[in-house]
Amino acid sequence: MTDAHALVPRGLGPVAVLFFAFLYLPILILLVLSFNANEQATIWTGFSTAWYGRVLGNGDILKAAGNSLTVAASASLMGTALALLAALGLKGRSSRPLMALVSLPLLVPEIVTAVASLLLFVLIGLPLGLATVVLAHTVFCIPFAFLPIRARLQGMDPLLGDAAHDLYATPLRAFLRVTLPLLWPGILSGLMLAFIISLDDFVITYFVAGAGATTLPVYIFGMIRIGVTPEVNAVSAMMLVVSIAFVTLSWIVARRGSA
Amino acid sequence: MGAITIRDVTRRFAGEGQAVLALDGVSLDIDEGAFFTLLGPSGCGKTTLLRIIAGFERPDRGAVRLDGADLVDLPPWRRPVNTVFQSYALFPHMSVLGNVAFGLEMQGVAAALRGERAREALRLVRLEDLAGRRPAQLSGGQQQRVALARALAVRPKVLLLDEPLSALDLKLRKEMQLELKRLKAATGITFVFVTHDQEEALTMSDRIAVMEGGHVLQVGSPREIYEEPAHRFVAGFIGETNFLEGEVAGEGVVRLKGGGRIAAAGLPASGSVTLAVRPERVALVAAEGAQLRGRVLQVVYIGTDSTVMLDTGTDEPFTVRVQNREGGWQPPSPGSTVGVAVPADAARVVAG
Ligand SMILES: Nc1ncnc2c1ncn2[C@@H]1O[C@H](COP(=O)(O)OP(=O)(O)OP(=O)(O)O)[C@@H](O)[C@H]1O
Ligand SMILES: [Mg+2]
Repeated sequence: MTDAHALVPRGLGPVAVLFFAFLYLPILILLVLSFNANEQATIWTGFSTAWYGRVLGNGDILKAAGNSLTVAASASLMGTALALLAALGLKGRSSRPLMALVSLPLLVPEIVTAVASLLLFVLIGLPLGLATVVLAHTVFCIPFAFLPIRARLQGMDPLLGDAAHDLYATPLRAFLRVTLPLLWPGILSGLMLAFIISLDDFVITYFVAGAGATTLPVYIFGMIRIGVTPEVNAVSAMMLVVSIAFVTLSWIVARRGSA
Repeated sequence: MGAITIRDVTRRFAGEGQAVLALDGVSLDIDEGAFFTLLGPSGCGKTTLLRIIAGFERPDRGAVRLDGADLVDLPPWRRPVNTVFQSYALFPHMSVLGNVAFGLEMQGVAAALRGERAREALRLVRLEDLAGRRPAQLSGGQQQRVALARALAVRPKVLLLDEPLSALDLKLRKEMQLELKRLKAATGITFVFVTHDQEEALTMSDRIAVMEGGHVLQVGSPREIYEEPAHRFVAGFIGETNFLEGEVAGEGVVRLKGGGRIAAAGLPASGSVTLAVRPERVALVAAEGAQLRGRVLQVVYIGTDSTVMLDTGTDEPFTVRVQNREGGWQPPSPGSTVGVAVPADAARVVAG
């Protein structure tokens, strides 16, 4: 402990405070201003929850939120299912080139993926709509779901499968009773991660969503063009809460499973 | 029920670079109801042989039969053979009872009967009080007994045990050795037990197969393996042994390389031989007129015995073991010359 401390210059404590302020100040301001009574989003006049009421009464916002949830749920479920199959199929393969191949889409600039997806849909004549959004989202959900499932699978004692077979379990029953339950935390964690990534996506959605397939981030972007209203703050704050809840849950599930 | 025949089993692994011949033409007959031990150093193929009997591994060549029926094409989930894994391989997401009942469930035993038989198996290993715990909440010895109960609950014909005691401390190990003997007697199941601990093999087994480098060198009772080792490796691996090189010099007599002549039984008519002599089968005598003489290098007190190391003119020191009796004996002082009496039946010709 003391040795590790000696490696770091003293007096950096206040810098950490700055660091956290830098990270969280914008979000904090957003949260505070979402409770602002004033029409003018940036001028504080008093506390009010009226904007949240306005959001929940706005049919367009609710429809966009519904679209977002539909897309996130379908894309994350499909992506996770595909990731699970891929992880099982690739079990035991040498991991370095594989991980590079799976992780690469995460590093490709999103705008490139967006243009590429749009191009593909136009090329094969698929009309833009909710379905194209789900398809495009499924693609980027796969690596996010794959990584935790793969990690779980690699960490599993291969003798457990032998033990199950030894105790008269056919391969299918061994999978259902031993492999799947042990993989479950990884699957759930991957699913939630994929869900939240899909829910938050803007760039790809903006490109491949047709009319009537507006998701919440796209809708918020539209609102902003008119001006930053307290209503925008309130929707954003609500999305923030949902995101944090899911990320935390995903983290807890992954941790619980490995304990 | 539970007799295993292994014929000419060969298994090669394509390792990194060069292939490993893990088993090279192994043949064994394991009697029904025997406590049969595979003994050998690390990497000699013990686990591979066990995995072939269990069905996790296919032999490249050769036959494995259980009570005369060929096993090779039978998958592990259809073999009436169960394994206690070295690392236990308990299912971490199931309770102790769930682990023990798993095999019964897969066999299709009705739920009510299943619980009863699982509890019975846990009683057999004296763990009925811990049925509700998870494996992670158990000590190593307890996990080991759960693994045993899990394999016994399904009443196999043959139980394969891969170094099940190697992770335990000495006291627990001794307890579990007795426990295993008791279980063996109570169930009548054929036990195939793997160990690299020679003392464990000698005390537990009906028969021992000594393996090295993918070969079975010798099969016999513990007494045969210890007292009549047929192979230099066997004599050296089990217990302490002195090796003496020499030439046959007439009927029943060997002229030793380091000087001296000793009598030995079972000699060939002529040529060089290697003799194995156990340190406790020889005695120190006066140097005058002794068959074998040596200069004392060291005397080591080890409790019940003392060992006396002698330089007899060969590369390796010659060890004599003397019992420390009441009243005592006067240990020779280092540097002095003593004689060694080697009874003819104590010097055995070994191959290799
Ligand atoms: N799956 C495998 N792939 C490649 N080589 C293997 C494999 N399994 C075993 N081997 C090799 O085969 C040889 C025999 O291995 P095995 O595990 O049977 O030895 P063992 O007698 O059980 O040793 P230990 O006492 O260390 O457990 C070793 O050289 C080992 O490296
Ligand atoms: Mg082994």
